[in-house]
Amino acid sequence: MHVAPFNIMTLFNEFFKGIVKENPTFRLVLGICPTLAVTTSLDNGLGMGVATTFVLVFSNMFISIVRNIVPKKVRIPIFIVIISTFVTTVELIMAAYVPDIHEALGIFIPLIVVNCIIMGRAEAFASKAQVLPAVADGLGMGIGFTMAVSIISGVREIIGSGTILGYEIMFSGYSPAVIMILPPGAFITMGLILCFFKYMGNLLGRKV
Amino acid sequence: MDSARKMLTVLITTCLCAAVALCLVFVMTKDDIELKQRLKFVRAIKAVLPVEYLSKEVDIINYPLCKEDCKVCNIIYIVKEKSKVVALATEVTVKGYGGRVSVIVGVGEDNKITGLKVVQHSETPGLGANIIKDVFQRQFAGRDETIKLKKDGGNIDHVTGASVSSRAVVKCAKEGLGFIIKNRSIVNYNSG
Repeated sequence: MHVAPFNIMTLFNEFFKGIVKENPTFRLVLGICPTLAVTTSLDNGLGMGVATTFVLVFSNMFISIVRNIVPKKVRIPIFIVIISTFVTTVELIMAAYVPDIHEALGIFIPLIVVNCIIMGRAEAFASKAQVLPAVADGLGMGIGFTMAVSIISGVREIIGSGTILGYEIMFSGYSPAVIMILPPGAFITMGLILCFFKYMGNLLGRKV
Repeated sequence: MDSARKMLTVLITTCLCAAVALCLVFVMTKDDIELKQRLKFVRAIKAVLPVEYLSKEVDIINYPLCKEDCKVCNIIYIVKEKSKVVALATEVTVKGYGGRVSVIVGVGEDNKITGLKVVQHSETPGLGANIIKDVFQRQFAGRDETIKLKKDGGNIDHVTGASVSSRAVVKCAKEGLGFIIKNRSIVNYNSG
């Protein structure tokens, strides 16, 4: 089995690629369901991002640890068991320590199990990589996802409710554009940001 | 055959490990989760008490009142401060604009609403969801059974752009108040 030479530079590369170059939301366009559904306010977005990052890092780590003993035919069920264990863990921890965010995210926490970023990274990367690169990849992808949902939810909260993290920030007399915190607002924001990323990518040529 | 056995072993081992890990997490977080739910409940009940009780210690006694068929069990919460009954409270759920609206209504000794708090709703964000704002909920304190929206000839200002949601809250208030007044004698008798 071919193992890539291991050094600190490749580790950094695995980490940083998830943030801009292969940002899961804006470049790979994975895991769009929670991105659209829970980004009505910044604290929801952050909560979702942190929960997903936690699951990504640990599922990547464990999948990488067991990659050589798992038979090919049953790898998917085993990945699912590992992922759902961490999702349940994160759900219980959130219910115990941040009950408000837990309640606001609702069904979307258990649904992290089927978030395609996690399964995608498990199948495409963690099941073929050593433990440290797998963790770096999970962390980078998680932070990339967190940034993406934070940007979307921040924009939606500012325009849609005139607040940020619950504090009034817009000038007095600003009447919030409610559509931004309704489902159409998610598509509009997401679409415009995707356009922006694509445009920047074209401007900077093939380097991005 | 050998590969099948290996597959089974790996699958079963993974599931067992996962189960053990989850048991540990569950045991570790169980108390905290219960505590947080209890705190949330106490906060909701306290929010419907008159202002002077907000910072005081109160006891909350559950008093279930079952209807004849016992399919619907409404609970009256008896709130006591130093063994003196401060208020009775109950939770009412009605249909709102986007789903169910659950409201806790507090009623004082004078059969008037002491306060009201929306505990669960799925109204439109930015419009109907504003029923959770204090400005709206505060209006209910001190009202009696004639409670109505200004729009319907009463004295409660509705939330802008959300008269259906506002009406649902008013309905909750009315039903809760009626329910407590109707059953007050039983509760007081039983709680001594």
